[in-house]
Amino acid sequence: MDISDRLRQLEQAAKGELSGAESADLLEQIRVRYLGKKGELTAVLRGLKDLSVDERKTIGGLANRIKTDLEQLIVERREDLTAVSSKDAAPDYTLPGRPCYFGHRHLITIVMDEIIGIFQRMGFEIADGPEIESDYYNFGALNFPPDHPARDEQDTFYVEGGLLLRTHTSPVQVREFEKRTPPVKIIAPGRVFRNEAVSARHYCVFHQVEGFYVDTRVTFGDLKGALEAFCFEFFQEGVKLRFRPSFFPFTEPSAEVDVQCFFCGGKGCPLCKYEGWLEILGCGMIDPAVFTAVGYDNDKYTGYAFGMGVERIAQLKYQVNDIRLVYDNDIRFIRQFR
Amino acid sequence: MKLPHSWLCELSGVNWSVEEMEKRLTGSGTAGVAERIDPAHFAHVVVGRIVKLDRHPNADKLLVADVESGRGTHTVICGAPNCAVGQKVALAVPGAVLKGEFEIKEITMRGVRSAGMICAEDELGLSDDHSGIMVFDDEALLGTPVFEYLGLDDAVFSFEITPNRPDCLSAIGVAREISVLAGKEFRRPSVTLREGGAKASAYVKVAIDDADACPRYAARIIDNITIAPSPWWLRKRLRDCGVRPINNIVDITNYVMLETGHPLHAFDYHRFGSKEVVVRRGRPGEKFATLDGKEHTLDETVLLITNGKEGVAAAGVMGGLNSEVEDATRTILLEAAYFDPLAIRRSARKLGFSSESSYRFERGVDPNGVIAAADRAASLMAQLAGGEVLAGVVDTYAKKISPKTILLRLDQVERVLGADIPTSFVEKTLRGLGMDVAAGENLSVTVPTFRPDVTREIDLVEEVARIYGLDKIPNVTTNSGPLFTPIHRRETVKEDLRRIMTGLGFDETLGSGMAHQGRMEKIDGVTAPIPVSNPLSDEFTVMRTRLLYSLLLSTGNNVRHRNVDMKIFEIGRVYHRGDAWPDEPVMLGILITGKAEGAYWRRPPQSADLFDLKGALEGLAEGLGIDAPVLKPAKIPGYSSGTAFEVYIGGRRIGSMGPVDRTAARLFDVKQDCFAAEIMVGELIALGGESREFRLPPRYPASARDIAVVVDQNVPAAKIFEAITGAGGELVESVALFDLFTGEPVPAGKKSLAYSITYRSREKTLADDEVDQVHQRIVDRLQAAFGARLRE
Repeated sequence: MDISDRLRQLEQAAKGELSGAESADLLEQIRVRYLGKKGELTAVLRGLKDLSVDERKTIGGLANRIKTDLEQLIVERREDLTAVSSKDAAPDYTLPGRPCYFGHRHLITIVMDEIIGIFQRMGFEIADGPEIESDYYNFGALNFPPDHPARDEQDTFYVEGGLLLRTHTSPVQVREFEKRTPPVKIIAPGRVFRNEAVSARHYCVFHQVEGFYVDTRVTFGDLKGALEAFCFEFFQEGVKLRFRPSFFPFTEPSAEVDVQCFFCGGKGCPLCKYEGWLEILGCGMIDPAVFTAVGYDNDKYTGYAFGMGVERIAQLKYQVNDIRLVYDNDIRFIRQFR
Repeated sequence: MKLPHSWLCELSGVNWSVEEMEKRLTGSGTAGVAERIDPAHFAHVVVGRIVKLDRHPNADKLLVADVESGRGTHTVICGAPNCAVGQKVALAVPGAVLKGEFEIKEITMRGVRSAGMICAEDELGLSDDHSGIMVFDDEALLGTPVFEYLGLDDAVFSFEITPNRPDCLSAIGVAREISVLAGKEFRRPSVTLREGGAKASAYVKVAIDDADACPRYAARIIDNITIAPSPWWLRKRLRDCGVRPINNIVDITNYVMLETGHPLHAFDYHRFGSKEVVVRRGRPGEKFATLDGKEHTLDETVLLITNGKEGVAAAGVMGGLNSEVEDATRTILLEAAYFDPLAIRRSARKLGFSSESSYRFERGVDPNGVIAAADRAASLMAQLAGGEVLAGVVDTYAKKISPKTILLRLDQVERVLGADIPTSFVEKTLRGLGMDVAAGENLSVTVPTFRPDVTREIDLVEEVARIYGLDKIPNVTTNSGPLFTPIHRRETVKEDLRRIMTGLGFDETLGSGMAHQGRMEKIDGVTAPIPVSNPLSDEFTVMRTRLLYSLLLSTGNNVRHRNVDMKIFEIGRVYHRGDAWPDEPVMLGILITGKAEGAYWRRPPQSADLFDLKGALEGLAEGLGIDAPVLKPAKIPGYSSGTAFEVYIGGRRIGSMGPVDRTAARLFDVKQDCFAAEIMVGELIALGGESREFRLPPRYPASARDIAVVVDQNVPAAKIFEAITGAGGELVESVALFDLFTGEPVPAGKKSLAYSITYRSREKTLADDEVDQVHQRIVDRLQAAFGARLRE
């Protein structure tokens, strides 16, 4: 047998025995058998002097590598055995670990971030506007004539100096249009206020995400496509949408969008009040009166706009049946959401 | 607004099922939900006839009736005051479960057995009327199920009509929509009216003082009427529509309003007080009592119908008590008018209420539908109240309103909608909606006056879109828009802050932005908050000037639930008065209270203190990649006096922090120590946190030396730190305070601070004597500067 084969055989055998050695005594016996003065590997190393210079070089290298490996293995194995044998010091692994508490974002932030993230991936830029607004930005420029019944639907808080608390995020449209020339593709998330009695369904403060896109060839078909893409991503791939004609002074045509109830699949359940549909947002093509107010050419540009209530969507998605919980800030509520 | 299915089928000539009608109307903008009466609630309720009526032998107020049902005679105890032999009534026999909750059983009442019940309307769930039992017409067949006899299988739609569609506040308006959707021509029901001999103009004249507010006023006279309850069909229809029947005349005006959308008013001609209607503005201080019995003090915002001397109706809102139709009324002065929407809106607001009538006038009724509505009501008064309609209408049309013509460029439909809709469909739709269409290269469209919402080309595009069906417009499935979308730091900084704060173990809260004025002012005391002029409640009277308010409110809400250990943060705006416009700076608020780190078996739980808060701010700075915060003592409202701090980074004041003032915390029922900080997010953005120049990790080994010094209590740690780094120079790599100790063996008034100093050179391995030399320099400096004594 070739001497290098013999070495490898010895290595295999020694490693096998070492891995099976369950006591320090046994380990020592194995060490002596292979690496002791009269050990088998030592014998092979001694025989090296009979070999030619070339052979001595290659075989010697191999033999030394095996010797080092085995010595290392014996040390490690001895440590393993010591660790196992010192059972008294073994910790109770069922004790709790040192706390590294991770905080929770608020439910509204979580939902808002998700909505914003989806629209950012679709190329919308984020913009922002003041929460204390003028009548002009909140109503006038958005085609709400003074004393129009459409204003009744937006119960308004007033502050001093003829200013008001914005009732929707749509004033950001006007402010951004005044600053930019198309193409303009923006989402405007933010807080809005309505003077409505606080109940399980209504709170006097809530959040909206407004979106709008103005360019030379924007159509209602673009609006539908964008909102469907959003709903597929946010609710469920392939979820059914329904566009119902509606009325907002600042869009024409206007629509409300329902998604098929993702809880019952449209069969009817308490979540969708047995209607099979959940109303999630309002939208439409931006009314020419808005473009006129900001000096955009109606024959050149068209645009769409949409707005959704974050609390409403959060309530649907997480089935939170009382909106007051959202503003109560009970940490036992907050900590349920990631 | 409520309308029954049968009425819509009748008027539209379209026999869609309830479900189909609901779906198609909702799909075209007239959102309606159908409701039905559950037939199970009427099982075992049949038409019966009272054949015998006796007093209950043992109860004064009860009667014992024998009721024939076609399947035998039932003895029933009844207490209704209007029972009479021969009446056809609603008989519920054992087995019936009225309204799904009240089970009819055979019972014995004071010794007499009763095998059923004669029902009043409320007992059947038809109305809240409990004045007496329901009495049917004589023609009702014995034994007929009442559900069938009353036609209760009819579903009723509840519509949500958007404010732009006053035409759909009527059965005719909705029926027109149905006809168009079904592709059928709509025909308005015709009215046959027989007029009598005398001329109405001999009875009444009309003068309009303010033609802008009242462009048109028409009157008819109907004589010799008899006030009586309306027939069942009319009462049922009104009830289906949610209107309470009163008497035939009032019911007819309501019915015609529901049918045509045009509010009408019936005056008692003989109580009217003159032969002249004068429409004018109210006079300041003028008194007027509406028919609900309320007296109002008027001014010129109220449009008034008068008899030339005094008010008889608040125009378009409500009639007057003085001219109300009564049981003895014989002659009717019927008003059909067109009032300006804004005038009525202001009137109604001044009077402090809204009515079915004002609701419609505010949204805009049809000025050219006045006569049709008057004729329809007059013909019904002749038919149902035996009246005689006098010849002619007294019609004063002071300011004529004509249909408008709009040009529709055909390419605009596709330009806006992105759908290729055939011109033939466009034309047919607009005609179906009652418009005149002159075809050509473009369409010239004349819009009837019952559609005040359609004034522009885009409005016509909308009409086409909603009848075509928005769902049929093809979705664009590719993206377009600007080539590049910038990301703004003012947004990303908020994401960073949330990531860092949650990572540091803080939970995010969210306040409303509004605050209770008293508590807000007690917390702030410097900035006068912006008041809300029409607050919802005391809790929301001003805009918050400090985030500390919301943090404490959240804390209070939690402490109340015994959540006493908390680390919370909020990112939000506060509101300050500004020069031209209010300022709304975005703030980051942080609050720690209770056992901040919670209990752990390896160490006792520790109550939060100022250094937990300072550590959080340091962690925040580290996370943002900006310098560590430096504190400067200051007096700040809301924080404990004497221990509050302004927070500086890189020389900029970024906010404030400190232990929360106990009085402030108690305003929110928080009685435990709280530590809070308010940081200006805008200042954090200004500090940047730009990437720094790369530095090679050191290649040479470090040497460590520990040093413990005893100094006076009042020497700030920061000064010692500065002395160490100052004296040590470049070779000092880091200085860590690892122990702070007072008490034995340290003398009173002194403290011991122990530091671990790491020395390292970037050029070579430091020899021991080199390190010793620098270390000695530090020791010397500490001794010289603070009289520090070295501790072994």
